[in-house]
Amino acid sequence: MNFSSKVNDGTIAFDGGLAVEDSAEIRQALMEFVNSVDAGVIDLSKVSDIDVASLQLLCSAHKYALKKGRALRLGAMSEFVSAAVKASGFVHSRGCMREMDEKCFWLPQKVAAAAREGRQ
Amino acid sequence: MSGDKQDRYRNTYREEAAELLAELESSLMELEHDLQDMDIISRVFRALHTIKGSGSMFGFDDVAEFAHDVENVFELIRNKKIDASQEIIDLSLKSCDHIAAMLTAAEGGEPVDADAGEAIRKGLARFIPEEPAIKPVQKAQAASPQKSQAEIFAQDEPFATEGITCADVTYRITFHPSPELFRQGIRPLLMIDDLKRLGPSYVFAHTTDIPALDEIEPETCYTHWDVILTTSKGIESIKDIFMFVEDDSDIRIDVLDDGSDDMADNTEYKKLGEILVDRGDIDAGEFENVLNGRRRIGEFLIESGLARVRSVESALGEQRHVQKIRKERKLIDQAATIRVPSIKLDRLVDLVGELVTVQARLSQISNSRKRDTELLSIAEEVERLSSELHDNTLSIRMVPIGTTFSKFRRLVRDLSQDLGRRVNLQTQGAETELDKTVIERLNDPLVHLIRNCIDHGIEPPDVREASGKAREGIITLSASHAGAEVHIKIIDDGAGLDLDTVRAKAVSQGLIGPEDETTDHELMQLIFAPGFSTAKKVTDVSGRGVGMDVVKRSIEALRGTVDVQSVRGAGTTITLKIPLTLAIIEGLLVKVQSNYFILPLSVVEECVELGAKEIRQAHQRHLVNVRGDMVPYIRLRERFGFNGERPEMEQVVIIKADASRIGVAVDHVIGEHQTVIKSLSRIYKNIRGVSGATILGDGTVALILDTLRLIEEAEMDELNSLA
Repeated sequence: MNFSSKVNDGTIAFDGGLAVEDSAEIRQALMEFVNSVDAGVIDLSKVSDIDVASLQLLCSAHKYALKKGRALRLGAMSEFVSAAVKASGFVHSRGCMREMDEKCFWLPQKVAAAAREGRQ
Repeated sequence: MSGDKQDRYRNTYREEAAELLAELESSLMELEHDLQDMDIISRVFRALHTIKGSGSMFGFDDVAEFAHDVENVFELIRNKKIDASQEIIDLSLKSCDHIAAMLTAAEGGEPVDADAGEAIRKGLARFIPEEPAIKPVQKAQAASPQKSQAEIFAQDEPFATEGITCADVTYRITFHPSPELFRQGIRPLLMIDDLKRLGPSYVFAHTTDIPALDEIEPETCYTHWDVILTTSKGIESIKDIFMFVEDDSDIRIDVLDDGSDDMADNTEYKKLGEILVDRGDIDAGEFENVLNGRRRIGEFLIESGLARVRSVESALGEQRHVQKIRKERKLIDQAATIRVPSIKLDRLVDLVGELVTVQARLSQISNSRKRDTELLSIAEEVERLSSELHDNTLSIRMVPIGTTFSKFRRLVRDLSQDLGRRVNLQTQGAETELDKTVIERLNDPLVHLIRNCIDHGIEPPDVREASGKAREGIITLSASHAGAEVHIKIIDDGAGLDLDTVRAKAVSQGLIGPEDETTDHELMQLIFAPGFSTAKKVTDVSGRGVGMDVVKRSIEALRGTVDVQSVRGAGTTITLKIPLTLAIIEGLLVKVQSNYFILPLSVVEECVELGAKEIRQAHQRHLVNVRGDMVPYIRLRERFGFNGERPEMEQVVIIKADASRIGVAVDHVIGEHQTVIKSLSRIYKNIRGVSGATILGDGTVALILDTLRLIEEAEMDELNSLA
């Protein structure tokens, strides 16, 4: 595995590269995390590399959280992640499901905020 | 991806690269004849581009870098910055060889000659003018995927619209990748990055289809993209980026703005509804409804009298019809071919063979229970089906010989250059199909025969001119089906065999006596004798005298025959006759005592009876009178040492090989039998006279006789008995 994850006080922090080779493990980690909290934060400030498969999983985690009636938001993002998110076209001005609009991960203001957090 | 998957994709890449190299070679040779042909140059460029792109994707970085160097040169040629030249083509052909060597080395073969590679690189570099502008873009493309994608994006520039000229065209690219995209090792972010390098762009990823964590398959791609891109580099550069995913993905590239004057005047772009309709995101008709609050346009037109019912119906019908046709055509195009590992095919052929055996058994039993008509009809149906299955399976293994023929073009070109000949290679019957294994085993013999043609057959241009021939010699490779065989001919219009020299050599080697009478044809076949060579000089290419003998043995191992015809001064024709399949032959089943044997039906001429009278007539010698000819025969029971009593009336099966005929005396001739050949195990493999075995319907084993061996022995016996 190219990454590690640590859960602490309602936040899951990923460290390393998030790539499709480890997608099963990333999914597992996210699922366990969402199941264990009411309101969770995903910290990507130490993530050095991320690909589309992992971006999908983040999206998927958010949809799962909403399904389970929990809250999930993106915490800090490393420069690499925010660049990847922007470059990949994942930044949306609206969410993909009407009910989720303001909650969507990928709203530009949220991505910008996460990037700011990551820089601190 | 797990290690196994990696290997599988690497193997697939190697196979595809080999095919690409073959195409590349043949395109380069075509280019030699017309250095200005832009179509061919594009073909060459695309092949190199694919080799490079896929190579870097699957970890063959050295191949990618090398291909990149050659690609550079062809990009310059494609953009008309430099011209193609013979030297560039020579270097490019050498590059093909070098890349092939790198692929072999990666498989654990011989390590590659780094100096040779360096020499080629340096040679190519001389053609690249001092323009640093090209390098950075190319370097990024050739970068190994190990470089973190995030690193690449960290250098990303904000959307810039400065400097857009009228030559820039704006495209809408919709990219719907196959769900298997990640599993295929493709990284979409790299592709998007490549697109962005072409010009300012807007990228939008559709994430609606991504399921929640409890339903998602993490390795499946659920995302699709819309990219609006403005670039002056042309639609081909966009298509290039999607080259290795276009088969499995849905990619649409539409021109939104072609930079032409009339479009530029109107700075307003399409209305939202139009865009949606354009993209197929909403139904045009329903959109109209929404806009106008009215019924569908067809009805509206009819109601207002602007169109007749029938016309509208017909127009709608036309619309539906054309759409349907287009959809179907797309499906057909996609269903083209599938790759199958040979080993799976072999297993299938084995299974079919065993099925045929068991089916024979079923038929046998059902025939013996004639009163059970139901069983009989089932057995017939099974026979029909297994026969069709058999034919079908064997046809899957059939491959057109054209690919083998094409490979020889390179050989002929190189050899003619080396030996100072001018040779034109023509082919006929390239679509003739043979079993895959047979084609593979024909490769070496054909290579040798062609070498021989060029070395000994075709004369140097001056000599040819002096004898009134064209300076360029012609070698024709032809293939055709003839019954259950394939006939392959290598025809040259060269000097032909010098029969006097052949005779002299044969005599000096003791192959024939000095006084022996031989027909010209018999003399010609002598060139296949071991060690025979009339070449005055042993060249690198041929002349050692091992070649023709090995050729003959290779063809005979395929149960084929080889024959040579020649006319002095006019040319030589070598004819190979190969049976279509190795696995199943039509045989004649015979019995000696309680043992069964099979003789290949292809060599059987007839059967004659051998009774006491015939034996007396031959004065106890093993000869039988066949319509006036005395044909020698061997008795299988004696040959294999069976001790029982000889029946009063025996049967002699007359078989032929080349010009000889012999008889094989057996107790009974049972009849024709479709024989699935099973090879003998190691222990029995070297028994002389037996080439394999088969299993009869009732489970008994019948040995397949090696008729060539039997003939040799019979002739030996005959000579000995005369002495």
